[in-house]
Amino acid sequence: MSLITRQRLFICLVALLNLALAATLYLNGHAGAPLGVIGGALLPLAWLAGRRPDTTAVSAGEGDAHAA
Amino acid sequence: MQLDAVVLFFVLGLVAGVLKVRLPFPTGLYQSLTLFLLLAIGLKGGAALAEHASSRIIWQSLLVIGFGAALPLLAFPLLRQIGGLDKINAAAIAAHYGSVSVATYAVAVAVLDAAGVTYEAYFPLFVVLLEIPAIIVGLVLARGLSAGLASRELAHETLLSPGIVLMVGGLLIGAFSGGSLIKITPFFMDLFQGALALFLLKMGLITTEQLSALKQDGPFLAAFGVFMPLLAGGLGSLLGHGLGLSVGGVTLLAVLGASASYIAVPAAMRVALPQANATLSMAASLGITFPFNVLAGIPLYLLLAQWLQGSAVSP
Repeated sequence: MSLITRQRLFICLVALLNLALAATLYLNGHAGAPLGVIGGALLPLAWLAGRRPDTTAVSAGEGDAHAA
Repeated sequence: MQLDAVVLFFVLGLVAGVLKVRLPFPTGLYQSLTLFLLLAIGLKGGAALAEHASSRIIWQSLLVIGFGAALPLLAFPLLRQIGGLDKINAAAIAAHYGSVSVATYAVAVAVLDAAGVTYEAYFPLFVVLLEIPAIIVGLVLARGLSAGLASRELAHETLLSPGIVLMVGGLLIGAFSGGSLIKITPFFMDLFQGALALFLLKMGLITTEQLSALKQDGPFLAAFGVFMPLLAGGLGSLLGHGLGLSVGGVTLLAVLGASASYIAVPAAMRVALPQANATLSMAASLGITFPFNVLAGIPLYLLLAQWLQGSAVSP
Protein backbone atom coordinates (compact mmCIF):
# COMPACT_ATOMS: atom_id res chain seq x y z
CA MET A 1 0.00 0.00 0.00
CA SER A 2 1.48 3.35 -1.00
CA LEU A 3 2.21 6.10 1.50
CA ILE A 4 -0.51 8.36 0.10
CA THR A 5 -3.12 5.60 0.36
CA ARG A 6 -2.08 4.97 3.97
CA GLN A 7 -2.35 8.68 4.74
CA ARG A 8 -5.77 8.94 3.11
CA LEU A 9 -7.05 5.92 5.02
CA PHE A 10 -5.69 7.34 8.27
CA ILE A 11 -7.30 10.74 7.69
CA CYS A 12 -10.64 9.10 6.84
CA LEU A 13 -10.39 6.94 9.96
CA VAL A 14 -9.75 9.97 12.20
CA ALA A 15 -12.59 11.90 10.53
CA LEU A 16 -15.00 9.02 11.03
CA LEU A 17 -13.86 8.60 14.63
CA ASN A 18 -14.68 12.26 15.31
CA LEU A 19 -18.03 12.00 13.55
CA ALA A 20 -18.88 8.85 15.51
CA LEU A 21 -17.94 10.54 18.80
CA ALA A 22 -19.98 13.60 17.83
CA ALA A 23 -23.01 11.44 17.05
CA THR A 24 -22.64 9.54 20.32
CA LEU A 25 -22.44 12.78 22.30
CA TYR A 26 -25.41 14.27 20.44
CA LEU A 27 -27.57 11.20 20.96
CA ASN A 28 -26.80 11.32 24.68
CA GLY A 29 -27.82 14.95 24.98
CA HIS A 30 -24.33 16.52 24.95
CA ALA A 31 -22.73 19.07 22.65
CA GLY A 32 -21.29 17.06 19.78
CA ALA A 33 -21.01 19.95 17.33
CA PRO A 34 -17.27 20.74 17.81
CA LEU A 35 -16.23 17.14 17.13
CA GLY A 36 -18.69 16.94 14.24
CA VAL A 37 -17.24 20.05 12.63
CA ILE A 38 -13.68 18.74 13.08
CA GLY A 39 -14.63 15.36 11.60
CA GLY A 40 -16.37 17.06 8.70
CA ALA A 41 -13.37 19.31 8.07
CA LEU A 42 -10.97 16.35 8.04
CA LEU A 43 -12.81 14.37 5.36
CA PRO A 44 -11.88 16.64 2.42
CA LEU A 45 -8.28 16.64 3.68
CA ALA A 46 -8.06 12.96 2.76
CA TRP A 47 -8.46 14.02 -0.85
CA LEU A 48 -5.78 16.69 -0.44
CA ALA A 49 -3.21 14.28 1.04
CA GLY A 50 -0.25 13.79 -1.24
CA ARG A 51 -1.03 16.77 -3.40
CA ARG A 52 1.61 19.46 -3.59
CA PRO A 53 0.38 22.51 -1.67
CA ASP A 54 1.26 25.12 -4.25
CA THR A 55 -0.01 23.15 -7.23
CA THR A 56 -3.58 23.77 -8.25
CA ALA A 57 -5.62 21.21 -10.16
CA VAL A 58 -5.25 23.27 -13.34
CA SER A 59 -1.48 23.62 -13.10
CA ALA A 60 -1.13 19.94 -12.20
CA GLY A 61 -2.95 19.09 -15.37
CA GLU A 62 -0.67 21.36 -17.34
CA GLY A 63 2.36 19.74 -15.76
CA ASP A 64 1.18 16.32 -16.87
CA ALA A 65 0.64 17.61 -20.39
CA HIS A 66 4.19 18.96 -20.53
CA ALA A 67 5.52 15.65 -19.27
CA ALA A 68 3.57 13.81 -21.91
CA MET B 1 -24.62 25.44 24.29
CA GLN B 2 -22.47 27.33 26.79
CA LEU B 3 -18.73 27.77 26.39
CA ASP B 4 -16.40 28.75 29.19
CA ALA B 5 -15.59 32.48 29.21
CA VAL B 6 -11.86 31.74 29.21
CA VAL B 7 -12.22 29.49 26.15
CA LEU B 8 -14.20 32.21 24.38
CA PHE B 9 -11.18 34.51 24.67
CA PHE B 10 -9.27 31.89 22.67
CA VAL B 11 -12.05 31.88 20.06
CA LEU B 12 -11.85 35.69 19.91
CA GLY B 13 -8.10 35.42 19.24
CA LEU B 14 -8.74 32.84 16.50
CA VAL B 15 -11.37 35.04 14.84
CA ALA B 16 -9.11 38.11 15.06
CA GLY B 17 -6.23 36.09 13.58
CA VAL B 18 -8.33 34.71 10.71
CA LEU B 19 -9.65 38.21 9.93
CA LYS B 20 -6.06 39.52 10.12
CA VAL B 21 -6.97 42.11 12.75
CA ARG B 22 -3.82 43.84 13.98
CA LEU B 23 -4.35 43.44 17.74
CA PRO B 24 -1.59 45.28 19.60
CA PHE B 25 -0.52 42.52 21.98
CA PRO B 26 2.98 43.32 23.28
CA THR B 27 5.46 40.43 23.37
CA GLY B 28 6.47 41.48 26.88
CA LEU B 29 2.88 41.09 28.08
CA TYR B 30 2.67 37.59 26.58
CA GLN B 31 5.94 36.64 28.30
CA SER B 32 4.75 38.14 31.59
CA LEU B 33 1.47 36.23 31.42
CA THR B 34 3.36 32.99 30.71
CA LEU B 35 5.61 33.62 33.72
CA PHE B 36 2.60 34.46 35.90
CA LEU B 37 0.65 31.33 34.89
CA LEU B 38 3.60 28.98 35.42
CA LEU B 39 4.31 30.42 38.86
CA ALA B 40 0.64 30.47 39.88
CA ILE B 41 0.13 26.82 38.86
CA GLY B 42 3.31 25.84 40.73
CA LEU B 43 2.31 27.75 43.87
CA LYS B 44 -1.14 26.20 43.93
CA GLY B 45 0.30 22.71 43.51
CA GLY B 46 3.00 23.31 46.13
CA ALA B 47 0.47 24.41 48.72
CA ALA B 48 -1.59 21.28 47.98
CA LEU B 49 1.49 19.06 48.16
CA ALA B 50 2.34 20.41 51.62
CA GLU B 51 -1.18 19.57 52.73
CA HIS B 52 -1.60 16.13 51.13
CA ALA B 53 1.96 14.73 50.89
CA SER B 54 1.81 10.92 51.09
CA SER B 55 3.56 7.82 49.76
CA ARG B 56 0.61 7.34 47.41
CA ILE B 57 1.75 10.37 45.42
CA ILE B 58 5.18 8.78 44.88
CA TRP B 59 3.94 5.67 43.09
CA GLN B 60 1.36 7.69 41.23
CA SER B 61 4.20 9.93 40.05
CA LEU B 62 6.25 6.94 38.86
CA LEU B 63 3.35 5.64 36.78
CA VAL B 64 2.72 9.12 35.37
CA ILE B 65 6.39 9.35 34.32
CA GLY B 66 6.06 5.95 32.61
CA PHE B 67 2.94 7.22 30.83
CA GLY B 68 4.84 10.27 29.58
CA ALA B 69 7.66 8.07 28.28
CA ALA B 70 5.24 5.72 26.50
CA LEU B 71 3.39 8.38 24.50
CA PRO B 72 6.23 9.19 22.06
CA LEU B 73 6.60 5.46 21.45
CA LEU B 74 2.99 5.42 20.24
CA ALA B 75 3.34 8.57 18.15
CA PHE B 76 6.67 7.67 16.49
CA PRO B 77 5.52 4.65 14.40
CA LEU B 78 2.44 6.57 13.24
CA LEU B 79 4.60 9.45 12.06
CA ARG B 80 7.08 7.12 10.34
CA GLN B 81 4.80 4.50 8.81
CA ILE B 82 1.75 6.59 7.90
CA GLY B 83 3.18 10.10 7.84
CA GLY B 84 6.28 9.01 5.96
CA LEU B 85 8.40 11.42 7.99
CA ASP B 86 12.11 10.88 8.42
CA LYS B 87 13.44 9.57 11.74
CA ILE B 88 14.59 12.96 13.07
CA ASN B 89 11.34 14.82 12.40
CA ALA B 90 9.20 11.90 13.57
CA ALA B 91 11.17 11.72 16.84
CA ALA B 92 10.96 15.49 17.38
CA ILE B 93 7.17 15.57 16.84
CA ALA B 94 6.73 12.44 18.99
CA ALA B 95 8.61 14.20 21.82
CA HIS B 96 6.22 17.16 21.58
CA TYR B 97 3.23 14.83 21.92
CA GLY B 98 4.68 12.99 24.91
CA SER B 99 5.23 16.21 26.81
CA VAL B 100 2.51 18.53 28.10
CA SER B 101 1.03 21.95 27.45
CA VAL B 102 0.69 24.06 30.58
CA ALA B 103 -1.83 26.33 28.85
CA THR B 104 -4.11 23.39 28.03
CA TYR B 105 -3.80 22.26 31.64
CA ALA B 106 -4.71 25.75 32.85
CA VAL B 107 -7.79 25.82 30.61
CA ALA B 108 -8.84 22.39 31.90
CA VAL B 109 -8.49 23.60 35.50
CA ALA B 110 -10.60 26.66 34.67
CA VAL B 111 -13.28 24.46 33.07
CA LEU B 112 -13.33 22.09 36.06
CA ASP B 113 -13.53 25.01 38.50
CA ALA B 114 -16.40 26.54 36.53
CA ALA B 115 -18.22 23.19 36.51
CA GLY B 116 -17.61 22.70 40.24
CA VAL B 117 -15.67 19.45 39.65
CA THR B 118 -13.02 18.76 42.28
CA TYR B 119 -9.59 17.34 41.46
CA GLU B 120 -6.36 16.39 43.22
CA ALA B 121 -4.74 19.76 43.92
CA TYR B 122 -1.20 18.35 43.65
CA PHE B 123 -1.59 17.91 39.87
CA PRO B 124 1.01 20.59 39.02
CA LEU B 125 3.56 18.03 40.25
CA PHE B 126 2.46 15.72 37.42
CA VAL B 127 2.67 18.61 34.94
CA VAL B 128 6.33 19.10 35.87
CA LEU B 129 7.07 15.37 35.83
CA LEU B 130 5.52 14.93 32.38
CA GLU B 131 7.63 17.66 30.79
CA ILE B 132 10.90 15.71 30.73
CA PRO B 133 10.57 11.95 29.93
CA ALA B 134 9.23 12.52 26.41
CA ILE B 135 12.23 14.68 25.51
CA ILE B 136 14.62 11.89 26.50
CA VAL B 137 12.58 9.23 24.67
CA GLY B 138 12.41 11.48 21.60
CA LEU B 139 16.18 11.82 21.59
CA VAL B 140 16.67 8.10 21.98
CA LEU B 141 14.29 7.50 19.05
CA ALA B 142 16.25 9.94 16.90
CA ARG B 143 19.80 9.09 17.88
CA GLY B 144 19.75 5.74 19.63
CA LEU B 145 20.32 4.81 23.24
CA SER B 146 23.73 6.46 23.51
CA ALA B 147 22.27 9.95 23.03
CA GLY B 148 20.35 10.42 26.27
CA LEU B 149 21.23 13.73 27.88
CA ALA B 150 24.91 13.37 27.03
CA SER B 151 25.35 16.97 25.95
CA ARG B 152 25.69 19.40 28.83
CA GLU B 153 23.90 22.11 26.89
CA LEU B 154 21.02 19.76 26.18
CA ALA B 155 20.77 18.66 29.81
CA HIS B 156 20.64 22.33 30.75
CA GLU B 157 17.92 23.10 28.19
CA THR B 158 15.88 20.10 29.26
CA LEU B 159 16.17 20.11 33.01
CA LEU B 160 16.58 23.84 33.55
CA SER B 161 14.24 25.24 30.93
CA PRO B 162 12.48 28.42 32.15
CA GLY B 163 9.11 26.64 32.26
CA ILE B 164 10.39 23.85 34.48
CA VAL B 165 12.36 26.19 36.75
CA LEU B 166 9.33 28.46 37.26
CA MET B 167 6.93 25.62 37.96
CA VAL B 168 9.30 23.72 40.24
CA GLY B 169 10.17 27.03 41.94
CA GLY B 170 6.47 27.76 42.44
CA LEU B 171 5.92 24.24 43.77
CA LEU B 172 8.73 24.61 46.31
CA ILE B 173 7.65 28.09 47.40
CA GLY B 174 4.07 26.88 47.74
CA ALA B 175 5.16 23.80 49.69
CA PHE B 176 7.51 25.53 52.13
CA SER B 177 6.00 28.97 52.65
CA GLY B 178 3.25 27.75 54.96
CA GLY B 179 0.77 30.38 56.09
CA SER B 180 2.73 33.26 54.58
CA LEU B 181 1.52 32.17 51.13
CA ILE B 182 -1.72 33.99 51.86
CA LYS B 183 0.11 37.31 51.38
CA ILE B 184 0.52 36.67 47.64
CA THR B 185 -2.72 34.75 47.14
CA PRO B 186 -4.77 37.79 45.95
CA PHE B 187 -2.29 38.37 43.13
CA PHE B 188 -1.51 34.82 42.02
CA MET B 189 -4.83 33.06 42.69
CA ASP B 190 -7.56 35.68 42.37
CA LEU B 191 -6.19 37.12 39.12
CA PHE B 192 -5.47 33.71 37.59
CA GLN B 193 -8.59 33.43 35.42
CA GLY B 194 -8.25 36.95 34.02
CA ALA B 195 -4.58 36.42 33.18
CA LEU B 196 -5.41 33.08 31.55
CA ALA B 197 -8.13 34.74 29.44
CA LEU B 198 -5.66 37.35 28.15
CA PHE B 199 -3.05 34.66 27.53
CA LEU B 200 -5.55 32.63 25.49
CA LEU B 201 -6.45 35.66 23.41
CA LYS B 202 -2.81 35.79 22.32
CA MET B 203 -2.74 32.01 21.85
CA GLY B 204 -5.65 32.31 19.43
CA LEU B 205 -3.66 34.80 17.39
CA ILE B 206 -0.55 32.58 17.44
CA THR B 207 -2.58 29.51 16.41
CA THR B 208 -3.76 31.16 13.19
CA GLU B 209 -0.14 32.05 12.37
CA GLN B 210 0.92 28.41 12.83
CA LEU B 211 -1.87 27.03 10.66
CA SER B 212 -0.37 28.59 7.55
CA ALA B 213 2.73 26.45 8.09
CA LEU B 214 0.71 23.27 7.56
CA LYS B 215 1.13 23.10 3.82
CA GLN B 216 3.50 20.33 2.85
CA ASP B 217 2.44 17.60 5.28
CA GLY B 218 -0.74 19.44 6.27
CA PRO B 219 -3.49 16.86 5.76
CA PHE B 220 -1.66 14.06 7.56
CA LEU B 221 -0.43 16.29 10.39
CA ALA B 222 -3.91 17.75 10.86
CA ALA B 223 -5.33 14.25 11.28
CA PHE B 224 -2.42 13.24 13.50
CA GLY B 225 -2.91 16.37 15.63
CA VAL B 226 -6.52 15.32 16.23
CA PHE B 227 -5.90 11.58 16.61
CA MET B 228 -3.06 11.73 19.15
CA PRO B 229 -5.01 13.70 21.77
CA LEU B 230 -7.94 11.29 21.44
CA LEU B 231 -5.64 8.28 21.84
CA ALA B 232 -3.48 9.75 24.62
CA GLY B 233 -6.49 11.32 26.35
CA GLY B 234 -8.24 7.96 26.38
CA LEU B 235 -5.15 6.23 27.78
CA GLY B 236 -4.70 9.02 30.35
CA SER B 237 -8.29 8.57 31.46
CA LEU B 238 -7.77 4.84 31.91
CA LEU B 239 -4.54 5.43 33.85
CA GLY B 240 -6.22 8.03 36.06
CA HIS B 241 -9.10 5.65 36.69
CA GLY B 242 -6.63 2.88 37.55
CA LEU B 243 -4.76 5.21 39.92
CA GLY B 244 -7.98 5.85 41.78
CA LEU B 245 -8.12 9.56 40.98
CA SER B 246 -11.28 11.63 41.30
CA VAL B 247 -13.38 12.61 38.25
CA GLY B 248 -11.45 15.89 38.03
CA GLY B 249 -8.14 14.04 38.41
CA VAL B 250 -8.98 11.56 35.65
CA THR B 251 -9.95 14.50 33.41
CA LEU B 252 -6.71 16.33 34.14
CA LEU B 253 -4.55 13.25 33.49
CA ALA B 254 -6.38 12.79 30.18
CA VAL B 255 -5.71 16.44 29.36
CA LEU B 256 -2.02 16.09 30.24
CA GLY B 257 -1.76 13.02 28.02
CA ALA B 258 -3.69 14.66 25.20
CA SER B 259 -1.82 17.96 25.20
CA ALA B 260 1.37 18.59 23.25
CA SER B 261 4.21 20.82 24.35
CA TYR B 262 5.06 24.00 22.49
CA ILE B 263 7.35 25.71 24.99
CA ALA B 264 9.70 23.28 26.78
CA VAL B 265 10.18 20.67 24.04
CA PRO B 266 10.86 23.08 21.15
CA ALA B 267 13.60 24.70 23.24
CA ALA B 268 15.19 21.33 23.98
CA MET B 269 14.83 20.13 20.38
CA ARG B 270 16.52 23.26 19.04
CA VAL B 271 19.62 22.15 20.91
CA ALA B 272 19.30 18.38 20.57
CA LEU B 273 17.97 17.97 17.04
CA PRO B 274 18.73 21.20 15.19
CA GLN B 275 18.14 19.46 11.86
CA ALA B 276 14.48 18.78 12.77
CA ASN B 277 11.91 21.05 11.15
CA ALA B 278 10.53 22.99 14.14
CA THR B 279 7.69 24.40 12.05
CA LEU B 280 6.14 20.95 11.59
CA SER B 281 6.07 20.25 15.34
CA MET B 282 4.80 23.69 16.27
CA ALA B 283 2.13 23.74 13.59
CA ALA B 284 0.79 20.37 14.71
CA SER B 285 0.96 20.98 18.46
CA LEU B 286 -0.07 24.63 18.50
CA GLY B 287 -2.06 24.91 15.28
CA ILE B 288 -4.09 21.71 15.60
CA THR B 289 -3.83 19.93 18.95
CA PHE B 290 -4.08 22.96 21.25
CA PRO B 291 -7.31 24.33 19.69
CA PHE B 292 -8.71 20.79 19.41
CA ASN B 293 -8.20 20.20 23.11
CA VAL B 294 -9.52 23.61 24.15
CA LEU B 295 -12.65 23.53 21.98
CA ALA B 296 -13.57 19.84 21.85
CA GLY B 297 -11.16 17.69 23.84
CA ILE B 298 -11.51 18.94 27.41
CA PRO B 299 -15.33 18.58 27.58
CA LEU B 300 -14.96 15.12 26.00
CA TYR B 301 -12.35 14.01 28.57
CA LEU B 302 -14.57 15.28 31.38
CA LEU B 303 -17.50 13.23 30.07
CA LEU B 304 -15.24 10.20 29.67
CA ALA B 305 -14.00 10.60 33.26
CA GLN B 306 -17.56 10.91 34.55
CA TRP B 307 -18.55 7.81 32.57
CA LEU B 308 -15.53 5.83 33.82
CA GLN B 309 -16.17 6.81 37.42
CA GLY B 310 -19.85 6.04 37.08
CA SER B 311 -20.86 9.50 38.26
CA ALA B 312 -23.75 11.50 36.88
CA VAL B 313 -23.03 12.72 33.35
CA SER B 314 -25.00 15.91 33.05
CA PRO B 315 -25.92 17.00 29.51
